[in-house]
Amino acid sequence: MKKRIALLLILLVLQISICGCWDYTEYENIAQVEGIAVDFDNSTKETTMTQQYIVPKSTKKSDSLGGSSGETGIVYSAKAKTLFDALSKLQQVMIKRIFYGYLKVFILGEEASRYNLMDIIDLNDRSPVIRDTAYFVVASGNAQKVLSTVDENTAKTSSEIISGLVNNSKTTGTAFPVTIHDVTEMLAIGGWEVAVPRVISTADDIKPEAGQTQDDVFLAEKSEGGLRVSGMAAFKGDKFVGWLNEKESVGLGLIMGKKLTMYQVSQRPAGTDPADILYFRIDSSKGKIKAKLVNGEPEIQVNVSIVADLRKYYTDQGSEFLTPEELTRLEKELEDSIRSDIQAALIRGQNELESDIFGFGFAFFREYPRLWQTDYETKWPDIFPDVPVDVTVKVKIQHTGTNIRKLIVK
Amino acid sequence: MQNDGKLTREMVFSLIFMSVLGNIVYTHTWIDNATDRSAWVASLAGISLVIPFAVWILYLGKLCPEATVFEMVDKGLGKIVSAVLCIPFILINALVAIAQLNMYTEMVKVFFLQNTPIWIIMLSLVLMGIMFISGELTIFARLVEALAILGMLNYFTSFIFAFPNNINVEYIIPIFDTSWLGFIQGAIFITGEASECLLLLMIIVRFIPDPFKHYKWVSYGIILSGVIFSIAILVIMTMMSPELAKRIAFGGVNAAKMLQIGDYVRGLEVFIFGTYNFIAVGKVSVCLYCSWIAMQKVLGSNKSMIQLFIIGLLIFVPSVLLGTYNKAYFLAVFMGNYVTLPFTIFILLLASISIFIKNKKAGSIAK
Repeated sequence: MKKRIALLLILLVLQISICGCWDYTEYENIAQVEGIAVDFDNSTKETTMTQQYIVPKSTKKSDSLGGSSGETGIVYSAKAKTLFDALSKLQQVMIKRIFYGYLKVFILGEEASRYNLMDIIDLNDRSPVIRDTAYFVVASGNAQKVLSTVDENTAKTSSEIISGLVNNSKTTGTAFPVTIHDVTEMLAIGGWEVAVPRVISTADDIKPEAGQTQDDVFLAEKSEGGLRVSGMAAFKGDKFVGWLNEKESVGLGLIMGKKLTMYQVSQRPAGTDPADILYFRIDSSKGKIKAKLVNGEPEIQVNVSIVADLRKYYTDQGSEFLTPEELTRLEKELEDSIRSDIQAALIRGQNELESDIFGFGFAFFREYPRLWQTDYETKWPDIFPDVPVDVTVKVKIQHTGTNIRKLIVK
Repeated sequence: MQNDGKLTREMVFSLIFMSVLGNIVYTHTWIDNATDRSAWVASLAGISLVIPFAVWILYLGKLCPEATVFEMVDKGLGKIVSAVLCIPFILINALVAIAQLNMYTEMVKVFFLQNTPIWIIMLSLVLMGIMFISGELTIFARLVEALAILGMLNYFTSFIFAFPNNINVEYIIPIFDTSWLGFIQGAIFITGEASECLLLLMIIVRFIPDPFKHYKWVSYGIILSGVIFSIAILVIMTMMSPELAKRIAFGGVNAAKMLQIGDYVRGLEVFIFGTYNFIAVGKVSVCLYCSWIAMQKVLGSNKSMIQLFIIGLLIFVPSVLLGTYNKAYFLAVFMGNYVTLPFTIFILLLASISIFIKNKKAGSIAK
C-alpha cells in the first residue's frame, strides 16, 4: 500500500512539473528573424546590428511599421560598442520575443569582416539559437543597406531573396553556398581559409527613417533596389583580405570540387566576335586536390573533370558534321576555358591575396599528417604562395543536342 | 531483491548496452586532442577493453553463484568489510548520476527549454528512475530493452538524412593522425568511462543464470555499444569535422542541427534528443538501482521505498547544488580517469580473495 501511495505521489509530481511549461510562447508573440546584418565602424569602434523580422499576418500594421506592404519584413538597426549591446538594444524596441530559429541569411559588412568575424562566430557558437544552416555572405560595402533593400517586383523579403540567390549560385558558378557552419569549419581546420559569397545591393545608401529615429536604435528605411550574389570574399585567418571576381570564383569552385552546373563559353582572344564564341553547359564537375612531395618540397595536383553539353555550334569554323575529331577539338576549347578560370583563381588566391582558400594545406595534411604537424602547419602561410600547382582538366562533351550537323544559313 | 527473477539474454544484453553509454556520450570529447581523427577507433578499442573485467565478474559469479559481488566479499571477508565497501560504491554511483543529470540538463536547457528551471528537469528524471526501478529488476530490464531499441532507431533515423550531402569523407582521412601514445591514452580513458557498466554488472551478476557460461551475453552487449558509439562518433566527425567535433559535448545534437531538407524540414535534433533522453533516464535509473541494492546491504533491509527515496535525494540535491555543466563534465572526466575502473578492480580483487578464503575454509572443514 505504501509503495502504491509513493508511486502515485511520483506520478502526481511528474504530471505537475512536466505540464507546467516554462518555455511556452504563442507564435503571435515572437518576432521571427529572417536575416541579420552586422556592420562595423572602425573610426568609432561601433558595431551596428540589423535584423529583419517577419510579422505574422494577424498583427501586421504596415503603416506604422514602415513597410510598404508588410510582406517585405521590418528592418531594425541598433548601434553599440559591442555586438551583444546592439542585440540587447534591438530587443528593447521589440514588443515580441526575438526568435532566430528560422534565420535564413547572415550578412557581414565589408568593414565588419575585417574586424569582427570571430565575435559573430563565437556568439553563434555559444548560443545555439541561431541555426548553423543559415547562409553566410559578405556584403560589398554596407550590410545594413543590403538587408534593407526592397525589390518592388517581388513580395519576398531581402533575406529570402539572398537565400534563394545563394542557393542558385551553383547554376552560375560565380559563387557557391556557404553556411555559418561551413565558415566555422574553415576557421577551425588547418590549411584552409574562409571564402564566402559576396552580395551586392543596387539600392541607395541607407538612412534612418525620419520620425522614427533614436540615437542608436532605428527603423531602417527601405530603399528600392536589386540584389545580386556574385563573386566570393576571401579571408586570411579571421580577416577579410579581398574579393574574387566571377571568373576567379568559378575557378575556386572548380578547384574545391563544388558541384557546379553552369554555362561556360569557349576561351577566345580579346576582340573576338561574340558570334564566334561557343557555348557549353556544364552538366557535372568534379575536382580533386592531391598533395605530394617532389624532392622534399610540397606540390599540389588539381584534377578537374567536366561533363558538358554543347549548346552552340552553327557559327564555328569547324566541319559541318560533329565528328568525334571535331568533338575532341571542342573539348580542348572548353578545357582551355576551364583551365583559364582555374589559373585566374590560383593567381588571385595564391599570389595576390596569399590566402589558402582552396584548402591545399588541408590536402597536404591528409597526405602527410605527421610531416604537416611537425614541419608545415606553422609555416604553411609563408610557403603557400610559392607551392607549385599542377592543373589537369579533363573535359567530356557528352551531349550535342538532336542534330549531328551544324545549321547552315542559306 | 529476493523477489527479482532471473534475467534473460536480451535483458542482460540491453542492460549492459545501456549502462556502457552513460557519461561517455558527453565526455568522449576529452580524448579528441590526444586521438584526433582516430577518436572513433580509440572509442571502440577502449570500450572493448572492458570485456576482460566483465568476464572476471562473471567468473566470480560462477565460483559464488546467486550473489552480488558484495555478497561474495561478505562470504569470505565478513559483513563489515562488505558494508564498508558498499559506501564508496553508493557514492560512486551517485556521482555518476549527478554528472549525467547535470550534463543532460544543460543539453536540454541549451537546445530546447531555455526558461525551464534545471531542478524541474532533474526532478523529473530522478522520479522516473525511482518509478522504473521500484518494481522487479526484470520489469526494469524489459523497459531498458525498449529504450535501447527506441534510442538507436531515433539516432540513426535522424542521421540517415545526413547521407550523402552532409558526409565529408575527407574529414576522417587519415584515420590515424596521432601517436600510439595518444591513441592508447584515449582508449584507456574510454575504458575508464565505459567501466560504469561494471558497477551494474557487479550487482546483476546475481540474476544472470550460469553467468560465466553466458559470458557472451555481456560481451556482445559491450561490443555492440562500442560499435554503435564509435559509428556515432564517426558520423559526427564526417559531418562537422574532427576539429569542431572535439570542441563540443553534445555532438549528436549539434550535428543533427545541421540537417535540413528544403526550407521546412529541420529540427531533426529532436530525434537525437530522444536518444540522449533515454540514455539519461536509463543511466540515472541504473545508478539508483545499484545504490539502492548496496544500501540494502549496509542497512540489512529488503527493498525499502524510504531507502530508495533517500538515494534519490542523495542524487537530486547535489545535482541541483552543482548545477553546472562544466563542473559535471570535469567530474565525469575525473571519475573516468581515476575512480570507476580502479575502484572496480579493487572490489574484484577483494571478492576474488574472499572467494579464495571461503573455498579454503570449506576445504579445511571438509578435511
